[in-house]
Amino acid sequence: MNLPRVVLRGLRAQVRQSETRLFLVALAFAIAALTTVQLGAQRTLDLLLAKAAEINGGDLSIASRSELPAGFVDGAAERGLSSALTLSFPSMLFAGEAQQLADVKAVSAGYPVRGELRVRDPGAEADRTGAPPGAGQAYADRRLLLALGIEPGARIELGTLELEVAAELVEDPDGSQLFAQAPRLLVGIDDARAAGLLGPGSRPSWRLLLAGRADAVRAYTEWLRPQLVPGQRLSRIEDAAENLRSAYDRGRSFIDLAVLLTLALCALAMWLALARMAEREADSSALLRCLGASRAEVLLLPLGQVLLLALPAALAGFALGLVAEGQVNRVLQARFALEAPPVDLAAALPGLLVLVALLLACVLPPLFGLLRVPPLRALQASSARPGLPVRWLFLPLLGLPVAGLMMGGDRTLVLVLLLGLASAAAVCGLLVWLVLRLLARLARSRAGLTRLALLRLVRKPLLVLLQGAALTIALTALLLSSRVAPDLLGQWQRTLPADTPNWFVLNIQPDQRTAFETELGRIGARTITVSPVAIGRLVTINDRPASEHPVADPGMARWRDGPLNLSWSAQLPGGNSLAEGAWWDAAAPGNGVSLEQRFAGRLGVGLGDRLGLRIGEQEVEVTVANLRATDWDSFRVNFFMVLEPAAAERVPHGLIASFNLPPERADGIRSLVRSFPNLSPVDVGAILDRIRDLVGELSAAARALLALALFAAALVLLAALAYAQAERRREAALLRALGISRGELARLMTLEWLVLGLVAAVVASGLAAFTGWLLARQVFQFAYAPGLSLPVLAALVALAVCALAAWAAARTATRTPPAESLRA
Amino acid sequence: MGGGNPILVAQGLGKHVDGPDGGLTILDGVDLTLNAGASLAIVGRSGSGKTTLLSLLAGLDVPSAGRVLLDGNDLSALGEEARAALRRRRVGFVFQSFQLIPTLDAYENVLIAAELAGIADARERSRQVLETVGLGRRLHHLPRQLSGGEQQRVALARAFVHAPPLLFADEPTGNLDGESARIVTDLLFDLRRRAGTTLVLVTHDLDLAARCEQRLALVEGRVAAAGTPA
Ligand SMILES: Nc1ncnc2c1ncn2[C@@H]1O[C@H](COP(=O)(O)OP(=O)(O)O)[C@@H](O)[C@H]1O
Ligand SMILES: [Mg+2]
Repeated sequence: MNLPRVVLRGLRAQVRQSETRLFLVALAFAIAALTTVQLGAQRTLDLLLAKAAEINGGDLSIASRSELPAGFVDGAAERGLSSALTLSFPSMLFAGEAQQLADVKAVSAGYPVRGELRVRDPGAEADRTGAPPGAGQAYADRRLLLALGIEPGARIELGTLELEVAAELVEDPDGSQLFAQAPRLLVGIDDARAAGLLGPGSRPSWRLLLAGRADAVRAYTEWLRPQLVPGQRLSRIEDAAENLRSAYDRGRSFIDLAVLLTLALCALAMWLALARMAEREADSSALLRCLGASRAEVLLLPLGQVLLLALPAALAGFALGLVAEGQVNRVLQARFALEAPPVDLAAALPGLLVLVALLLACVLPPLFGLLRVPPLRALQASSARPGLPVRWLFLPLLGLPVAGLMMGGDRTLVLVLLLGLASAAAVCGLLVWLVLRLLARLARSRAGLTRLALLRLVRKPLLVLLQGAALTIALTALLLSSRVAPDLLGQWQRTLPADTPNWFVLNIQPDQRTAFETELGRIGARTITVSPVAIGRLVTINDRPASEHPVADPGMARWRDGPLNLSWSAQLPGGNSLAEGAWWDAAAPGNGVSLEQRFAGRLGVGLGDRLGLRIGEQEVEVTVANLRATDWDSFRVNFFMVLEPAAAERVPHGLIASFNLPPERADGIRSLVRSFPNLSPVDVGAILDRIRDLVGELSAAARALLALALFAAALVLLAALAYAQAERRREAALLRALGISRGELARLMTLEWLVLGLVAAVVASGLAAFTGWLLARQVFQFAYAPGLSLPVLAALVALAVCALAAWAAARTATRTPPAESLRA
Repeated sequence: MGGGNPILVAQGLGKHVDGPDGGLTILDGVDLTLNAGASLAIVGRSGSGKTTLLSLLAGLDVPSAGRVLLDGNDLSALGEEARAALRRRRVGFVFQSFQLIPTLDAYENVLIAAELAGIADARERSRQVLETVGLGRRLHHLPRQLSGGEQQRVALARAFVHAPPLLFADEPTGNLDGESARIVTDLLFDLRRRAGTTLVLVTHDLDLAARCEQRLALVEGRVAAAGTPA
């Protein structure tokens, strides 16, 4: 047999078969989804790493409270690293009569080493990339300009110097503006030295920022480490990236889940299509065996055709994925004004190819059933059909964890996801099994077509399971994206009362408190909370130096070693609830401290532990008296550490206030700042809006991902239909020959699908409601109440889908000539 | 051929199809008359048109020429639905490839036919017939758990469960080995005798044909010989 020629000759006929087409569509779709996500994920990761470098100020940074040795800079230059020195300190600024406390940041010539400085010239509309300020010049950010009531071009006093504000500072690539408390002034480092503000008592912080090739950075790090003295802190981009990365990982895990689900469903669809193909090919295989073809040839014929056809389908899927990724990326770029790095095809391709190979390896086994087709089948049409090779079904499922790991997922995350998926599948399976048991009982008491329809479901449990699961998954995805997600957002937004604080004011001095509160009342502020705030450091934990305390979470080292905001209060602060221990008794003052529950857990301390704190010049020892659960969504001022008032007597402190100011009274803030020029108001409402936007965007993204799963589930449904098609035809012809009418046949199909659809609707409503409840609890932290619309919508959609399926099935059935029974 | 009481009459029956290589006449000018309770064997080589003739006689397909009277009803005047209703009450089938519903067990396969025909004690009757064909202990086996001979016996039970006046069998032993074929044939004739069923049997087995009262030999779609053996 000239195999290649036979393979090619059969190609056209092969494409005409519906299951072949289904296989190709599922393959192309799986590859498109995979390509989109893999390339997109890689690009996002690259972007995040670049952002992390900006937030860190460079690939590497060394921070210190005193000036860094000049040798550090020379060493960097020798290794080809670019470097810049920054110095920041708080200082009072004056412009005419106006004055403002600002965060002054002085930078050297090479600044910034990563990212760019954006400034706007006086009178200009658009901003531009700026060089560091020249001698005698400064850049002031918007808040500073407003607070001082000046425009770019004006002159300000910094210490003993007079500087010209040459431009507005639009973006300083150190990521600090998002969290900055005071307005910022950027000046040249030589001017800052000359301003005479770095004397004793000042609190300057120095940073050396470095950037360059990864190997040079590594070499420099190794060279530098032994020379560091206490107080000099080295931080690598990896450390800065950690926060971003954990946010990324959480998002990524959701994407991975959606894509794994999509892949699994596509694999199932492909698997079913090939199982059907194997059944169809079995006859000609048997014949070829009779004619003397070897087992291998019998397999290679359809296999060769499948693989030949898979190639263009895979390429089409890949191209589709590229286009889709480009589109998604364009949207992201427009939204976040970010310049994403170009796609690195060479890096992504091998992984993709291996994944595609894995996918094919998982779904091809049904074709291998052809190896076992006996030549005898050609003589006896009914002998040994290959059948649904159930034991191979575990392959697409087994392929999942491997695919998950290869897609770069976190190992435990993949495991958790798969366990979740597996348990959902198990629950689904169990439910379907239970329903089938019920149906079997029901069938016994029914007669005629009703029993026939029920028994057909009961006796084809695997196919029903697949159809039911596909329908359920599709419905769940649909419900989640169309009902649960909008419901969640709506309910979450309603949980924030109208008088939620939307302004924070920092820097209030204790002697301003009364006047400040009076002024707040005058401008119409509501829900006012004023708390003392002091900056302290952990010195000891249980009498041992804090730096030797092992933290439960490595990210906590900066809290252990760095400055901490502290407050004190006689009562449990609003928006907090006691989780462990007891709140202190005002009648028996002591040195207690209350820790936020999760903070305590990550720091690795608990009830009864003793903490030594340094607050200003004072040392205080406190004992952990209780742990609080904090509702961060309340948007009040919250503290990880709240002291018992007795422990905080005589410590130097300021005050922080939060209050709600209705939007129509927002100009009250201006008069507040005029009355108290040293205050820094923060517009929390704007931040809240930004968070709302972000949650809205995330849920839109999630819904797009669910749409992938929806489509893939539809493919499984179609594949299951196609799989059962041949048998249905035979059965329909027979029933027609036995004399049942077209109407009865259509009713039979409808009944069968109706039962399936109802079961799927019930299970899907349950799953979607449960997911919504879980999301509400874990992510949004409120109690979600799914509406009645959920099961109603599920039932309606299920009915529509099943009616369509029943109609398609009935159409084939009624069009099948009864005489076919004689020729089967 | 005496007067009697004809249950099945065919007059000038022809079937013409448009194939890939132009028109093709499969069947041409077939006449026959079959009295109630009689048996007819349609014989001929493979491809001579036996199955086509059977499907026209049973109303599974419509002729291009001529007409079929079943129980006095002109099948060509009836729509497909009316023919189905007629089949349901008056006709039984046995197919070469058994044609059992794979999702139903032996008993349920018989039961569905009994219920379709509207038999009052369908359950009891189905069990009885299966006992008769010797499968009383295999009631709840699915078709794939039965041998070919056993499957065909279930098919016989299904065909006779509502004691149809007319039974069509297309090479009922064609897929069976000699011993199974003999058992199935014996059962077929035994059941037919007991129910008084008129039988139309397609076969190329001359021994089997010899057990029928009338024979009709087809050669390339035409009647080559017809009659009652002497
Ligand atoms: N639908 C059809 N289209 C074209 N040719 C057909 C069709 N049905 C049957 N034939 C042809 O008619 C002839 C008789 O077929 P058939 O009645 O099955 O013969 P038999 O049952 O005697 O073996 C065969 O040559 C067959 O190929
Ligand atoms: Mg035939």
